[in-house]
Amino acid sequence: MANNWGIPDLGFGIGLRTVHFPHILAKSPPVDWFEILSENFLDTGGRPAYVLDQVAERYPVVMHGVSLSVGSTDPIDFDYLRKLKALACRTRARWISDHLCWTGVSGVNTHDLLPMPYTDESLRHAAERVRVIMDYLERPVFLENPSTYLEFSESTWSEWDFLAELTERSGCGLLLDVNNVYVSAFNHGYDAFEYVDRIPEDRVVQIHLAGHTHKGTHILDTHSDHVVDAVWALYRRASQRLGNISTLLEWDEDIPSFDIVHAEALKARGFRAAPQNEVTRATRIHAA
Amino acid sequence: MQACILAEGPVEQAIRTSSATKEFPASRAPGLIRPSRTLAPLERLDIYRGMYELRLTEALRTDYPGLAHFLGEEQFAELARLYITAHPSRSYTLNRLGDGLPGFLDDLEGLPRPRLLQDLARLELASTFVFDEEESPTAGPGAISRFSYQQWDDLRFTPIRALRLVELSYPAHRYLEALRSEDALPRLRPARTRLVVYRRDFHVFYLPLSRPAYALLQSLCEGLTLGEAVQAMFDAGGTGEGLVYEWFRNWFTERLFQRVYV
Ligand SMILES: [Fe+2]
Repeated sequence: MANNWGIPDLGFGIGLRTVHFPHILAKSPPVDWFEILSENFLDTGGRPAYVLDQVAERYPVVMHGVSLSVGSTDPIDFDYLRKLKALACRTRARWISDHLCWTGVSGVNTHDLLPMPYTDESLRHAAERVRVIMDYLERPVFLENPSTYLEFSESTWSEWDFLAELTERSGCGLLLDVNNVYVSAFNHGYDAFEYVDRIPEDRVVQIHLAGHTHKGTHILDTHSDHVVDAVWALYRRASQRLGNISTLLEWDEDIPSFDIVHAEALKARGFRAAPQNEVTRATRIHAA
Repeated sequence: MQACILAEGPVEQAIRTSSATKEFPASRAPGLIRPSRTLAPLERLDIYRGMYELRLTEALRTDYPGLAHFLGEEQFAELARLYITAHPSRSYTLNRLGDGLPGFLDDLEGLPRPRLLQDLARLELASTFVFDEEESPTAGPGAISRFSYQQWDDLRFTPIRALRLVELSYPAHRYLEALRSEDALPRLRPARTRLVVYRRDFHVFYLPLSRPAYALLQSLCEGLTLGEAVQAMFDAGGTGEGLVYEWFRNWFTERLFQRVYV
């Protein structure tokens, strides 16, 4: 299934992390592409900037940020957008993504991806902000479904329907994080497969995979471990619905060697284009 | 929700703070959030509170590893909590979250060895600026020899951007250097310490300077000509000319200047 923008499948990428800089510079490992955390490179001119320039020379780069704050009621931070645009130009970024969330109000930044109430009002509000942001950046923006730990009583939309409607109203696209789907589905008690099945298929240009931490009563999106089987099953389902889509493995805590992270990303190969009956079996096994 | 995340103390107390009750009355707070199968509304809110404190403390620890090591896990976390409450982040970047920490320490009472802690913090803050500054072109010693001896008095020196001058009451750089190279940590005694903090080949270095050398470099960084800077140094009871040559040789080797011009 082709996406709305004709954005090609870049293959299997990994997040660019400081601990791997020496390995990447020395070995130029055969990674399909890298995703950078935009904020880590916006205000630094030293080694991070140098490494990024080297990486952007050798690999396709995609920018993933955490500060668009599309759900916030504060004014849009155009200084941030200006720097984001410049960085996209410098790295020849294939696309820019962020999250469906808000990070703070009254000028404060909590540096967290805080959950939004999913209401008609918040939908109108977010759609308007996303339109302004995309206008300024002169490119589409792709929003990721966040991992959330609470839901608001006033929400009248499911997250997947909210995202689908947001893409319609604002023209934005989606980054589907299947680990986040799993985490939020557990935390809120909904069906992760229904989520993946309901996401608008022509709007997704990228998938995220990651590990998480199960706390018993809830799951935290820590990016600190291997991807669990149940998330691989979701990935398989998503690949079947959406086709082959640029896939990125996130690993941010207790980061192992580059080779281990890369191998984890490449595991995704085995879950693409699987026969239908295998997915059903995996679903049954991992639903337990 | 944000007011509850930023407030100190247990969540039941956080929803009663004046900033939180401006958003909604405490009695309504639990009703705004759906319970899950396993967690009550306020327990779910508390997850965000815990992560907020951890994330910001971790960001401060990244910028102040020496201070964190010196204070130890618990005391640093307590300091971070106090600081974050007084100075919540107002930017998209965590890089500059700790900019107010040295000033915050100046006003804090009951610290162990406060002057040393303040020195560590000031030096680490300078290091973060030096780490993040834009890369500059660098000038070699040939940059001076392009000029005739008669022009030397009028020469001006533009330092590289990744350079800061820091004056301390303790040789705090020795602590940071030992920590970085995993050597035994020195027991520091008070000693007036003047440092140039600079970046070369993407590493941050500390170069101790004598009082006149520091004064000379400071004058040059402020835009004085070489003649004016040397005169100011001699007026303040400076040193012999031979040493000045030696300093410049060293400073050029360390690539502290990006440009020499008249
Ligand atoms: Fe993600």
